[in-house]
Amino acid sequence: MPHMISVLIKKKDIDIFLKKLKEEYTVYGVKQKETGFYIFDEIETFSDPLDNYIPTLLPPKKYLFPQRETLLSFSTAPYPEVKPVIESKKQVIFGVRPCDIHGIKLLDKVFTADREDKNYTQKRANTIIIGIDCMKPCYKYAYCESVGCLDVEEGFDILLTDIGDCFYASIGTAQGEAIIRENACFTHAGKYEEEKICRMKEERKGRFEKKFLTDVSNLPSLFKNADNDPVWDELNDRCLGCGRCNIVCPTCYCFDVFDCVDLTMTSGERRRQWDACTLKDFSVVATGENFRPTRGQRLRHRFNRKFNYLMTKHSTSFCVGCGRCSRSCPVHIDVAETVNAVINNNKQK
Amino acid sequence: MISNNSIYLPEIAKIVSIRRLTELEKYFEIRLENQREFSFIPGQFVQLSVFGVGEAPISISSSPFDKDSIGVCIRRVGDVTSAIHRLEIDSYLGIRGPLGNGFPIEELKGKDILFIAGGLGLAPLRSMIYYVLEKRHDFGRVIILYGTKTPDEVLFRDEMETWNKTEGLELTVTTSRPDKNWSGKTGVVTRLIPFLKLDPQDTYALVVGPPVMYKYALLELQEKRIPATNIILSLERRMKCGVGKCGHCQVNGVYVCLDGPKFSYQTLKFLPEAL
Repeated sequence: MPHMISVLIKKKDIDIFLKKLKEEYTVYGVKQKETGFYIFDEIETFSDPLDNYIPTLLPPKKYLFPQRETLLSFSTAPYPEVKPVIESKKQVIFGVRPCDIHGIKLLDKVFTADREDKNYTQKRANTIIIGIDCMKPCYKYAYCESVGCLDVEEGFDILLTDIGDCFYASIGTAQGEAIIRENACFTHAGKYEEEKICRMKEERKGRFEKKFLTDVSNLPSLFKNADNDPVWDELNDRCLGCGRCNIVCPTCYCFDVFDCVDLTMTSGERRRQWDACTLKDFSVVATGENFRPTRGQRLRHRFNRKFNYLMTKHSTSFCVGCGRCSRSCPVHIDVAETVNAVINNNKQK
Repeated sequence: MISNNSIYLPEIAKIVSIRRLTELEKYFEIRLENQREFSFIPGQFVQLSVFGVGEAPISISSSPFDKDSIGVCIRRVGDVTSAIHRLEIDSYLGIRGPLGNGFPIEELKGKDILFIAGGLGLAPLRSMIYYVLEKRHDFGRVIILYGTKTPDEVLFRDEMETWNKTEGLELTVTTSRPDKNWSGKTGVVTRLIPFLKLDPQDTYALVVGPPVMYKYALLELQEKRIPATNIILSLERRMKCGVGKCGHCQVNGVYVCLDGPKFSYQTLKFLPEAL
C-alpha cells in the first residue's frame, strides 16, 4: 500500500463526522442491546463507551450479503418476463473490527471468483468501510492472531486507532482519502502520534494469545489427512446440527434459493437466503439421498471449508478468528479446541 | 438498480414438443425465445425454471449438433420437475446454461467408448452417444450397457431398436426385475461388464447412474484393468445456484456444478465424500 497521509480526529468530533457522512450515506455502526449483546444497526451517534465492544451478534456481512435478498423479479402472464434485481445503496459501515474486515475481504474473493455475483459486488462497491483497530483481546472466544487476522493492511477505506482522546486514522483507499479531505474534523498527525501508534502496535503483540498449536498455514495439509480423526465422532455426539455457527460466521456464504409468488399468481420474485451446511437437509437431493447424513460429517465439512477447501483454493484462512461460532454454540463446541484436537491427534499418529 | 448481467438470470425458452417416455419420465424439446443458438458439450446441464416454483439442474439429453433446440429427459420427482411435467406444448420455462464441464471430448477421441447407464443415467449419456454416432470415425468401438429395474422403465425404447440395428454399436439392455414379456438380458447392468472383451488402455468407460451402481461398476471396471483416468463418472448433488456460490453441491474441495458434474475416477479417488 502506498504511504498516504495519516490524520487524527478527536473523539468528540466523531459525531460531527458521522452526521456529515449521513448526508450522503446510510450509516451503520455498533449498538448495545438491552441484553448486553452488541449489534450492527443504523446509528445516529457514536457512543464513547462503545469503543470497547466485543464482536457483534451478527457480522457486518449482513449489509453486503443480506439474510434474505431478491435476485430476480418475474411475471408469467401473458408472456413470461424476468428481470434481475440488484439492490444497493450508498452505505457506510462504521466500527468494523479487523476480524470482520478480513471477513469482508474473503467474501470479496468468493463473490468475484469464477463468475462475479453482482448482487454482492454492487453492494460492496457502494460501501465505505471504516474500521476500528483492536489493541487488546476482546473476549475469550477470539483467536484472530492465530489465523493472521489481527493485523489488517487493506480492505478498509479508513481504519481508526484509539490513541486516547483522538483516533488515529489510516487511509486504505482513494475513497477513504476523499472522505477525509472533505471533512474539516481531521487534522494532520504529527511525529508524536506516528511514534505512538508504532509503539502501541508493538506492545499489543504480546497481549494476543496464539491459541492454535501450529501455524495456520499448516492446517490444510493437516485437515486433508484428518477425515477419520476421532474428534469428528466426538463432535457427532455433541453437535445439535442447529446451524448457529454458520449463521453468525463472517465468512459463511452458503445460500438457498426459492420463489415467492404474489397473490395474483402471475408475478413474483426469486430470492436467496442464508443456508447452513451443518443443517441436516443441506445436501439432500430430490431422490432423498443425503451425502452428509451425520452431524459429525457436516461439522467436518464446515471446518474443512475454513481450514482446507477454501483455504487451499484462495491461499488464505477462511476463518478470521472472531469466535462468534464458539460463543453461539449451544453445546460449547470451540473452534480453537477442535483445531488443536486435530493437531494433537495427528501428532500421535 | 437494474443490471442485465446477473449470473442468476435465466433466458426464456418455449417447450416445442413433449414425449412421454415412461410413467415417471417425459422428454421435452425446448427452444430459446431469443433465437440464440444453444451450443453445449455433451454431459453439461442446464438450470430449468418454472417461475413461481423454482429452479432445478437437468442434464441435456439431445445431440449437441441440434443447435436450435435442446432435449431434456425429466423424471417427475421434486417440486420443479413435477411442475415441468404439468406443462404443455408452447409453455414457457426459464433456462440458464449450459453449466458444468461435460465429457472430456478431446481425450475420448480415438478411444473405445463403453457407456454404462443405469436408469435415468441414460439421459446425459444419450447426448454423448449422439455425438459419437455423428463423429463415428473419431472413435473406436462403441459399447452401450443400459440397465433399468423393470422393462417399463426403459427410456427411449424406439431409439434402442434403432441403435440395436446400427452397425458399429454394441448395445445391451438389461432389466433386473423383468416381466414375462421381456426377452432381453436380465440382472443389474454392472453384471454385464465381466462378459466384455476390452482393451483396457484404449477404453474409456462413461458411467452414469445411481450412487449404488458406481460402487459395483468401479469394481468390475477395475477387474477389467481399466485405468482410473479412463473411468468418467457423473455426480448428482443438490444444486441451487449452478455457478459455484451457494455451496450445496460441494464435495470435499470441489463444486460439482463448476468442476463437474463429470469427474474421472482418478479425481474422485481423492474425494472421500464423492462415492
